[in-house]
Amino acid sequence: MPIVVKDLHYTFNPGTPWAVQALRGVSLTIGDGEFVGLVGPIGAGKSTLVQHLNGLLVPPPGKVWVDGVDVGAQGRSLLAVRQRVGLVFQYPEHQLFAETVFADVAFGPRNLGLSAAEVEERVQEALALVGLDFQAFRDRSPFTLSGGEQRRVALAGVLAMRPRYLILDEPTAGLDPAGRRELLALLLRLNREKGVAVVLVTHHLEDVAELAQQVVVMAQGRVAAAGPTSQVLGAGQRAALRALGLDVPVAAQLVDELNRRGWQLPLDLVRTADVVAAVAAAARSRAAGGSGHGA
Amino acid sequence: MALKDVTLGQYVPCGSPVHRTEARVKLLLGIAFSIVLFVVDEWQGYGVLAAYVAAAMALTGLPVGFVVRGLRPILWLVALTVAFHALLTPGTPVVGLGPVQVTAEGLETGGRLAARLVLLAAGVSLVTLTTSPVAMTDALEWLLAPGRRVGVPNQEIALMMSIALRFIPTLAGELDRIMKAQKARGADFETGGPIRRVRSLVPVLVPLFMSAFRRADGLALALESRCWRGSAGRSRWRTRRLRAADWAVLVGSLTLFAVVGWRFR
Repeated sequence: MPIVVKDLHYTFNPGTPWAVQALRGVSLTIGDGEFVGLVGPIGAGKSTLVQHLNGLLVPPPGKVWVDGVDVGAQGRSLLAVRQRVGLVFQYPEHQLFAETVFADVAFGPRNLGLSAAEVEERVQEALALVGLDFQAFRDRSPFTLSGGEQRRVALAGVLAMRPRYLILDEPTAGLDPAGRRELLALLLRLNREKGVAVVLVTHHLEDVAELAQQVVVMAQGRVAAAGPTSQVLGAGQRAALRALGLDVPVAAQLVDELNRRGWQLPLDLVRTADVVAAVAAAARSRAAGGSGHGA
Repeated sequence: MALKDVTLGQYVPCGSPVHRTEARVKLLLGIAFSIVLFVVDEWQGYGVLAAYVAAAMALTGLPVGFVVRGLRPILWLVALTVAFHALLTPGTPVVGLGPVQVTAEGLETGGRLAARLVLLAAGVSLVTLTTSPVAMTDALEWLLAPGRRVGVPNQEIALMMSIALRFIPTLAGELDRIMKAQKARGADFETGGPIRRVRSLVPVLVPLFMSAFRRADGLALALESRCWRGSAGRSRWRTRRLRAADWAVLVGSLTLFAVVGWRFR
């Protein structure tokens, strides 16, 4: 079952001189097991939106549904929703607090009221998922780890809740290229192997193009575009995306540039591998036909 | 969290005549107002001072509801003051039950103190609501300048104040974020007994202190990398001058305060 958002509005500091309309009627659906890219410039309302999805900001009744449960009608018992929908904030390592890696990752499962044995099992599982050796790390202080390791511990802390939906706000910010690749690979693995729906909140369309099946573009508190990645990042939308201050993936730029020079590559290609394959095929047929206009 | 609800004294930029009045003038008037408030002992005096504050508030153009809401935190203090005075002052009983007597004299004194407290809070928040923190620290630095001769580090105090003020919203935002992150992992700050609640704050306070130290470190580096060597002998980019209107406000208000203080003492 999906996450469904229907016509959600939100205003910060209503009734004061600082009132800001952050969401102005957002509707969208995040399917079970999907990989969704949520993109948009700063101030588009992305963070405000995702905080509604696990009840950190409580939506009015009837606006946000998680697996058929109305988030706004739960009163104070939001634990079940927060277990289902895991939220990883920006720089999640800044929220580490415990004396050991084990205790920090166990925080969530313990809040769920699980038995000690179950907690340990979940911590093991979560640390294995993020690629940290349980025995080597369990008793270390999280504050002595490297930045990349800290981030993985923080991510494990959310994964230990066993969420069905995992929302990450700029999870690769501040990581080096290797750390970034590893983290994105982990998200893909979670999605493909564990069936966890992933919502990647980011400004980087590059990552979205490679990983996401669906893209939601937000601007000024509204959904500006939504649909399959190849459509939303497709040729027709690129000028609009640039106007929002977002960068079109390099592979897509290459397609546009080659087509401007007379090639006829399909415009819905956005993933690097797909573009490479299409360019190679076109180049081969150009060489064979010698016409100068391959496709 | 309640932190965000505290509007008492939070600067709201509007550009009204009150906002444009020099910070030093407002600071001096705030101090003079507070003194007069405790000299005055008659209801007519409070009436005049209340009218003064109300007129100034009206001039600021801030929403009335917003200003009143900012005063709410002191109401319990006012209620407590009135209750204590009403019950503990000996005199003519009005109503009562056995040894517990509400006296007319008690109500009278309690009411006077309540008026003072409310006017004090209103007057002070009038200053802070309309003065930017930067202007305020400049004014404070100026006010403390005579103390420099006897070793009062006025410029350092001003810098510390402005940094502290600057960090309040930052840390409040950080606190909000950390609480949300822990809530996302099922943390519960609202239920359970007092011990449970205090313990539930550990996962919030540890990261908050870490972040405060990290920011302090970064700030120290940023200050040093811009060659900050203490405040002595620093010049100012923007010098603030008293305009004719500032003088008029200053002299006019001080005269009013003096008359009120003399007449209704």
